[in-house]
Amino acid sequence: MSGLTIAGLQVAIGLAQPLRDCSLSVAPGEVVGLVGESGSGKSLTALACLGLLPAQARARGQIQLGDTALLGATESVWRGVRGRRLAMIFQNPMSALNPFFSIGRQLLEVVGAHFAEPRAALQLRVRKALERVQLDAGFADKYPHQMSGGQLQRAMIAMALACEPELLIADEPTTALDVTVQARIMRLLRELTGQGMGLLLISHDLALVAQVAARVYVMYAGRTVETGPMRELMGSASHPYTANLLKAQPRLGQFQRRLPVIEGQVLPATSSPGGCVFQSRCWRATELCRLQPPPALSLRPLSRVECHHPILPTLLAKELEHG
Amino acid sequence: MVEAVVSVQGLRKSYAGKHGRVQALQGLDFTLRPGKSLAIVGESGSGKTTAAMCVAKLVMPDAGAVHLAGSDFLQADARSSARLRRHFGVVLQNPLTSLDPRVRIWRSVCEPLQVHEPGLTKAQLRERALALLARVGLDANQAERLPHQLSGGQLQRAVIARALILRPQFVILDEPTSALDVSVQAQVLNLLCDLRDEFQLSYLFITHNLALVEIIAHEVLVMYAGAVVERGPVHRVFAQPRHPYTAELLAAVPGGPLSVSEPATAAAESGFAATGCAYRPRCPRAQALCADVQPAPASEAAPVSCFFPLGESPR
Amino acid sequence: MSASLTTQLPAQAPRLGPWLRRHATIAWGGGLLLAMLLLGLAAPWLPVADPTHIDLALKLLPPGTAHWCGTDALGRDLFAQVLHGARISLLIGLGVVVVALAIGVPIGLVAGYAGGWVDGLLMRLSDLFLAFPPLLLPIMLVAMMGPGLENAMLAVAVSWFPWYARIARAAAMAVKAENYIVSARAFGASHARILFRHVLPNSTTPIIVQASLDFGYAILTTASLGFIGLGATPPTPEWGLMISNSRSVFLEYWWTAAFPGLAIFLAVMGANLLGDGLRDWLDPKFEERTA
Repeated sequence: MSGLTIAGLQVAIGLAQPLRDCSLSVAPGEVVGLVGESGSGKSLTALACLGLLPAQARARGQIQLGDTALLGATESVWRGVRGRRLAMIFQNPMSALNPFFSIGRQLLEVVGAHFAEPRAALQLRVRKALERVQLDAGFADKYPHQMSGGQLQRAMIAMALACEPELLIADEPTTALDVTVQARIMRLLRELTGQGMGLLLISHDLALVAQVAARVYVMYAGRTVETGPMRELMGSASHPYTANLLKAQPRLGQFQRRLPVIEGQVLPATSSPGGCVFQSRCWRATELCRLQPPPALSLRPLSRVECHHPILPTLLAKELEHG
Repeated sequence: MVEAVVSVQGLRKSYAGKHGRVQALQGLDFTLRPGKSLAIVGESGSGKTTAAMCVAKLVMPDAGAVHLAGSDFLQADARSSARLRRHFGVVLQNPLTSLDPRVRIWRSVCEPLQVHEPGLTKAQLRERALALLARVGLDANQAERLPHQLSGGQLQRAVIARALILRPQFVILDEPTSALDVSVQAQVLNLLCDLRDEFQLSYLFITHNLALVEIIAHEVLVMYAGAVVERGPVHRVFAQPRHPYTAELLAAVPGGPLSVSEPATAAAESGFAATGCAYRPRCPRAQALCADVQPAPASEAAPVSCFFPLGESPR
Repeated sequence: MSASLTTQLPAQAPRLGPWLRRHATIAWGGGLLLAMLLLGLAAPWLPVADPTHIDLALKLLPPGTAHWCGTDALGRDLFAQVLHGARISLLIGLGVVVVALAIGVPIGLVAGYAGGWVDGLLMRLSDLFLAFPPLLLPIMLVAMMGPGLENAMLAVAVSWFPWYARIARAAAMAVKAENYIVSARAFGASHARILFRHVLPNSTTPIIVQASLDFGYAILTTASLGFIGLGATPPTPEWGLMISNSRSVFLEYWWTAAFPGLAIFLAVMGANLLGDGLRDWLDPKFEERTA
């Protein structure tokens, strides 16, 4: 099993720079979360890892899967990586599967592309893939329109896992699903990763990611602004954006009459700020933040935050009163 | 006793499905008093959106009554119906498609005024639209824009303004923040709470997000397969759920207080049972009785629709 | 006083120059058509030969200084014919499309919006017209109404409206499901209001695109009718008719078909560009893309 390392990834499309600087790593077999809202660049990061950026996008930086450099790789390298070593599942399972063919047929196509084996052996792989996602063999003959949202997502996971990749990237895999179905899919993902496969879970929901991830990265306006072990981050975030995100999401049993809000909107991809990307909306911002890009500080082991005035754990309670 | 803002009785709706009739809504009853809000929670197929559509008479139910402003809304003829519509506002899920893409924001906001108060001049309409838009946090510049030039959060505020321009007491909101980012959702929720308190509004709030229910509503109805399976004050239902589905729903919410790492059942998603209790295939407490007899829908008197509710041990 | 006048100029008044530059397709397409139409309208007063003047001694002359586009089989100056024909052919194209739209779009919008038995009835009605082979119905209609250009145009329009009805119906059905229509019904807007203010404006795009493509076909179809004697009659200098007339000689005398053909080509291209430009302009998001 290999790990994934992204260093200084930047993506520009036309005059816009939707991804300004993304750096993250997933150790072999680790479950890592990537959290951000719209405009954060999280989906572009996933697409870049699979070489699926739009044609007019210009990417710079480094993406390594084990020993293989992915950014700028040739088509033949990609053929060996996509689906086989690195797989991805998407938000809307209904549109990610071909409505014309049965699930079994689509799975067969995937394994057939990567394994030069006789048909019987391929069929066996298909059956095993379905079993792993708790769909019984009868589903091989079903068509997408005959299945529910949860079943479709399982089928998509089966397709992603059919070739036993080293790493799975899941981009908002449960957003389109009911909450009880979501719980089951998350449990499934947790079981599957227990068997050695790594998982990069991308979502806007920190609490969801907290159910499975050991470490998490938070993205804002195309930058990875904070990272740290999951429990630590949930308990005391250092970056003001993360802190606000945690507070702004309504949580069951923690009634707040007024949710803390940040005025203003996400920095558009077309603007190039001299200083911090979050500065215009940050209640802790100073003149320094406007002028100079923040340094990357490591306040605790395994964590990193890009901020001139990070929130230190002891001051947390007082700070959040402001929100 | 204070007069109810809206009162619904016995709402029913069924559709012709692939395998016979589908009961989308079975007997919905509720009453809303001024300043009190009701949330309907459920997942897909629960009937919650059908409920909203029927109450708003956008879909004609098979049976039932909706009492609004002293009249029976459902029985009213076309003309009276149109006039009664000024007594409630509607906010739907996707803000970008809730406004005509070719019409400027302020014009969309004052359109209900044009329909119900045709005597107003253009200047008067504009003035009222701008005043309300300011109240929801949109300035005159934004009021002149077209929908695609505003963000999701700003659009939803405009939709809320349109829903309130005729000063109704009752607002139906169907998943109003589901399509919005977390930080934007927070802004819109704060706005909704402020407006509710300021104008003593009553909300009928449809959602699948249980955490929102605590903020917005006083009473909650939990729906499954078209029927209300549990109802009651929000804090009581969430603190001590009595229907197994309510418990499953609460346990499934990531990070909620009842969240356990192992959700109750790992069965593949099976559909609703055709006979007896619809929840039976997923229910860890199901007995033989549940397959044969369907429990009566939850009512004010009997707020749980279950033969073996939580808190009482099954035989 | 005069100072305040200048400051009062509305900020949004579009200045023609930059506007045309941004909407280049409208500029080129519309400009081309307008130029051709103006030339056609001005033709009787321009110093060109009489297009109906027959002189067999001058027949089938190649393009040269005396006759810029040569002459046809009856010695008539082709340039004059093409010029005079501009008015007729362009108005034919416009007339047919406009009449077909006027019949088809309301039928389609109402059918798509109302659904149910209204939809069924209206669509079966238009299916009736759709069932005939393309030229047969106009032929029948003209045979009933008598030959002549106006009858031919009306016949073609009547046989074409089902296409627009279908497009309008599909557009109306898509729009009807949108949230803003549902919201409008929720606050009590009447069906008429919704149809005119919301459904119609949001359904125009596919209709415009189709109409601009049909412009050329309208000219050709009417010409075909003229070809079999049921439309424009000689000596009317109509482009389609001119091509029909040249069918026996154009292989050797290419200019007899080439110049009217070129004229049709330019008119159709102008219409397509205009249609593309209009569609983009009517798309509310276009302004943002090019701003």
